[in-house]
Amino acid sequence: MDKIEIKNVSKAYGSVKAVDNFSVNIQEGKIHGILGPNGAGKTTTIRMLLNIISPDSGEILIDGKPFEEEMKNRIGYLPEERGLYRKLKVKDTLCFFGELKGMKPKEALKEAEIWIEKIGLKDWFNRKIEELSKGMQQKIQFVSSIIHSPEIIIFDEPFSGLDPLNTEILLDIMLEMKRKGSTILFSTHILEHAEKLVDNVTLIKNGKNVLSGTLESVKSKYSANLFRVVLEEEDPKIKEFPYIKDINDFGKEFEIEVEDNIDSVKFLKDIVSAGIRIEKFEKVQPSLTNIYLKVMKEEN
Amino acid sequence: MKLITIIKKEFKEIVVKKAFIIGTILTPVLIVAMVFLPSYIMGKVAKTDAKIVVIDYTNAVFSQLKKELESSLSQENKNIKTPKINKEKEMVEGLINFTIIKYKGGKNLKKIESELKKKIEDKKIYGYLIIPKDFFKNRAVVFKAKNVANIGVLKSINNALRKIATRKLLEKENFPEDKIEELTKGVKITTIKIEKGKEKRSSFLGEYMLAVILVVLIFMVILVYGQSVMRGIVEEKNVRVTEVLLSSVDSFTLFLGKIMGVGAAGLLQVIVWAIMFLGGYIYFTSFLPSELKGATVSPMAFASFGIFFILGYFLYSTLFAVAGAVSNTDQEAQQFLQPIMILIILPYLISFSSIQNPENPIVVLLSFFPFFTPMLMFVRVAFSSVPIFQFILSVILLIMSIVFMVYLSAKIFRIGILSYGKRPTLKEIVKWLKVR
Repeated sequence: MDKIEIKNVSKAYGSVKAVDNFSVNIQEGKIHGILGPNGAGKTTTIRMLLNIISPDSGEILIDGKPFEEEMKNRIGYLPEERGLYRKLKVKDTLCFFGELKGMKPKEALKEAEIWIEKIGLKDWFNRKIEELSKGMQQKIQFVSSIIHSPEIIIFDEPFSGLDPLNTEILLDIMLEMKRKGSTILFSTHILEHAEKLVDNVTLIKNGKNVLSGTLESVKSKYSANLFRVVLEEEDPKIKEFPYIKDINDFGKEFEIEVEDNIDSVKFLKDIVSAGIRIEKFEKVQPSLTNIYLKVMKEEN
Repeated sequence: MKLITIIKKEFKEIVVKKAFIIGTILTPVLIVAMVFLPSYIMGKVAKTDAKIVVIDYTNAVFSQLKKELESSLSQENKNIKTPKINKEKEMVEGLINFTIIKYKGGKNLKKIESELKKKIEDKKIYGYLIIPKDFFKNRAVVFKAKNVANIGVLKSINNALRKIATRKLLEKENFPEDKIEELTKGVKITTIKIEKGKEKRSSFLGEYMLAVILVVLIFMVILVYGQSVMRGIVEEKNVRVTEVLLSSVDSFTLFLGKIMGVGAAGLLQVIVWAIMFLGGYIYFTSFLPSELKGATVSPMAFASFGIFFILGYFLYSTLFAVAGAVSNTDQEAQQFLQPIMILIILPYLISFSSIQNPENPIVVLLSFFPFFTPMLMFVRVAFSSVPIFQFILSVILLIMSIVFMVYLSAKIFRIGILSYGKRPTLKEIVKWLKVR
């Protein structure tokens, strides 16, 4: 079932079309990633979804209905640009954002206490935000965006600027919220996290939806005769086979796409007979990164 | 509900600040110090101890003079019945505590004088009085002292001597004793100031000061709390909280909540001050300068203060909110502040000059201009009788312009709070107004 329907939405800033006839359906209870380079229109789309700005044309439906103010209480939002009131206590911050989402003060306090325990900042509950480290502030920010157990969670570039530890905590929070039945939409250009997390994916470029579907369908659509080869030492001969269609060079490691009629036996034989010493040879599925790079280059 | 959450947060944020607590307590203390201290000190300092040595060549004046001067206070009190005026007299002439001593010793005037001059230098005595033999005939004495400019001392001595001389004269004429007392009795003068052909009530100065304090209060609260609204919005933009807020509430609720929350803190401060002043007024009433005693502002003026205080704050804070919304830093906001400041300072200055003549046609006309109404109409109500329909009309105009300004500024606010980077031009701001 579709929780959110974005239909033919456009938004221009002056002469610049930030979002151009963009459509996508977000399925209920799934994690949906919107991927695209900087300036592709991800943030504008998200802001329109939250009714912070209105689209020039097109419509956005949540549960089949146009946006109503009341819906804000069912949405949790973590913007790309993050910040909290520096002078406010952690406790008051969480309660404030909870109450702003329609929670009763007592309810908000109770949830705040549960979450602060969960993220291990119990001792900081009565401290001011400005006393916390940046990493701690990030954790408080995650919690403040989901303290009201929203049906829909929207994260704009949630992983940017996070250290690995906080990335892990955020991934855990997202998976936990998914298990509780929340629909999660997030934008990112960091693809390795997206690959582990998403059920569905949309690639956006110049404000347009260029590829959309489940992770599997996207991968099978862009399935390719792809091999990963790790060399014992660098050897330029690996790049010289005539049937190579595309190659990603990581120094000693290569991702090599070859023509469809070349199977692994033939390719491996050719490598060995060329005298290239290899450490590893495997046939692989294309990664989201492969697909992303391919799509972005294609359209150009 | 969300409006209350925002009001609560804004209110709490200000009220728990040290600056707020200190300002709330210290401001009245400072004002009290400024109003009460001078009279308190005057009451203490003006008590002059005047030890005066009398060289009496008539041998008839000294004992009477001692009686007159050393009890001069109680004498005056008998004559002047209202303690209030007596207090005023004290304020002007000061309290003088006379000690009159008869000179005993040599006859050589030069020797005596050099001895007494040394005593004056050593501050053992205040001065000395030479009463020549022919005093009753010529009515002339010599008074030598370090300070001969103390009017109170001279006037008291003069009065006492004149009384003694007159009495002597009347005794000679065989006047009855009780008649003499009646003849030499002082006269009580009640003063009433006439201004523009009308009698001013004696508490006018007090009313004037109270009304001025209230005008200053309106001015200060608008300035301090309006800027607080502005800085709060700039801060939210700086720490990028705005977007999260807008994902939870609409911009209008946010806008209103901020203004009301900050305003509530201002109101609290004023109420605390009012209570402190009232308490202080009752407690310190004896130190109060007499001009302030019995100072009252009519209930109508007080009610209009409440109305204009709240409405004035609302009107101006919308401007401050816009200045905050279109700025990225405090410095940028300062530049938008200048035109707003003019709109605040202008009526403030006019209101002071209009106290003298609140029914000046220009003042009357300006008092209907919404940005001038809070201060000018208040002054008119406090110092003249404003026709009720004029008062109501000004309030209606004020409320209408508040609604209009809230509508306009909420629109600018909505877009301004999300635009970062370049400061918008006036043209762009006008364009924002047209955005749906």
